[in-house]
Amino acid sequence: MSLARFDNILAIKTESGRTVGFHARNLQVARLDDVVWDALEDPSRASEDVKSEILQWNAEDDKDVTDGNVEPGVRTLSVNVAQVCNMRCSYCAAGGDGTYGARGGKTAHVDIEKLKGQMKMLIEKAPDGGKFSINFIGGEPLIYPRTIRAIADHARGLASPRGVRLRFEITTNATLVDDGIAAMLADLGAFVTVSIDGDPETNDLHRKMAGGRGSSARALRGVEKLMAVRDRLGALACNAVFGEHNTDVVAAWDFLRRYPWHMIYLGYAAGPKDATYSPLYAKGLADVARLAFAEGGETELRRISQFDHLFRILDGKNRVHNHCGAGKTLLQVDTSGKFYACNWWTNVKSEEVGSDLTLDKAALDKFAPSLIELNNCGSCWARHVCGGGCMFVNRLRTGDKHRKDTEFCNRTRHLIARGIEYYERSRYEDGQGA
Amino acid sequence: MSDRVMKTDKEPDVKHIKKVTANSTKAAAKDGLKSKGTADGGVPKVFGMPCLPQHSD
Repeated sequence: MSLARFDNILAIKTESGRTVGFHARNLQVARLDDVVWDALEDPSRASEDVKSEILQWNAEDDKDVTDGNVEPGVRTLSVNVAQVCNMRCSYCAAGGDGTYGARGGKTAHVDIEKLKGQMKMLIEKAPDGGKFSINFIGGEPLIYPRTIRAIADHARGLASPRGVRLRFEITTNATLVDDGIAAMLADLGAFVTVSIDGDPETNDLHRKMAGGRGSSARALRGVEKLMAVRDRLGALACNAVFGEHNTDVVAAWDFLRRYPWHMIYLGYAAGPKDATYSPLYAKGLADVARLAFAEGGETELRRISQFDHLFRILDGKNRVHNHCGAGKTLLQVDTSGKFYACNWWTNVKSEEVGSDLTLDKAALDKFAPSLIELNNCGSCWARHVCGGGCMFVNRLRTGDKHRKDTEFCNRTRHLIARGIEYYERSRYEDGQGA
Repeated sequence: MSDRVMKTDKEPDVKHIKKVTANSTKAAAKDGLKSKGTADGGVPKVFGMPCLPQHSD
């Protein structure tokens, strides 16, 4: 794959020899004749006719494209139900044991009374008939299933009189899921994500129980319980994490796709050796895309979250301005009632944005501008798909949450370009090329 | 490629750029998920993050 760029226009020369165009501001995709590629590579060889067409497209302003600016107000509260875990994953970003570095057990369980007040404070600000999401994470949240039930019941009591539509999400390792927990999650209509890295042999290398044994057998038993209630859940997805510990994305996908997940997340954990491992991950995910598309076209490709997300943006013609809602529409609360913009900043004192029933307006105001602006994305062609990148990765890799991480940008652009290639094939071959 | 090099007033005669049409129906009809949206509202679900994923909003 090679890229050429002129202002708003990106041209992608695919491995099959096709040239695909992408208009970065209008989020339009096009099939390009070779003469357009040649013109972008070497304008001196271009005919006036081709130059004219390129300039015309470049200047075009598509009135159908909308901007995904966020409306003010917290719409998602991410709750650390537990800051303790029954597993010890080698790449854990929560301190290796779910404590985020605060060992000693004092903050293992969420302070439910504080949380009830915080939910009241935030849900009361949601508009009548609006939406509000509560994400249960940890640690392993299902260590305390009755707490989850209690939080959900309390939230429903706050939301239902005003018609606020609640949504519950949970990220779990599934090792504690039994029939009762599966039924409870089904009753909540929860959107469940299971963390699992692929086949048992690989998964057990890096996702061990606290006692040191592999987690796969227990996790897969839990998965079976969840699959049994799959149709009563909001959705059931899996999340595999890659990085220095594992870059075999194809093998993981090949195992995970055998289950009827609604969605497969294949994510990357940033680390100090990203210059080596990030490109390997990106290549692996691109290989998965090729295999998935060859096997099942758009449908199979879109079981992989990143590509589904891209297709939604392009079909919806909606420019993304924020990679996430951290500090804008999303807040994280830890077990002791401290607020953060991002869940991975739990116990990072400098990133606290409030506690108990007080939100630090000055701290939150700093998150108000779009991430494209805050993270200085300039004219990057991928900015309206990426939405400015991840502040956690930036902070981890560059020491400044608003200083871009080159490896993040490289793998993001690479994979978006790959995705655009498949989008063009899907839509053009639909017979809709104009 | 610079603006200066690309500047021309000529109207194109032949279409070398064939835009594909976004399919708004497909945007809304993802099998298995009950609703849709973008990343702007919540947790990111795009490329290369170490983040907890979020189902489509």
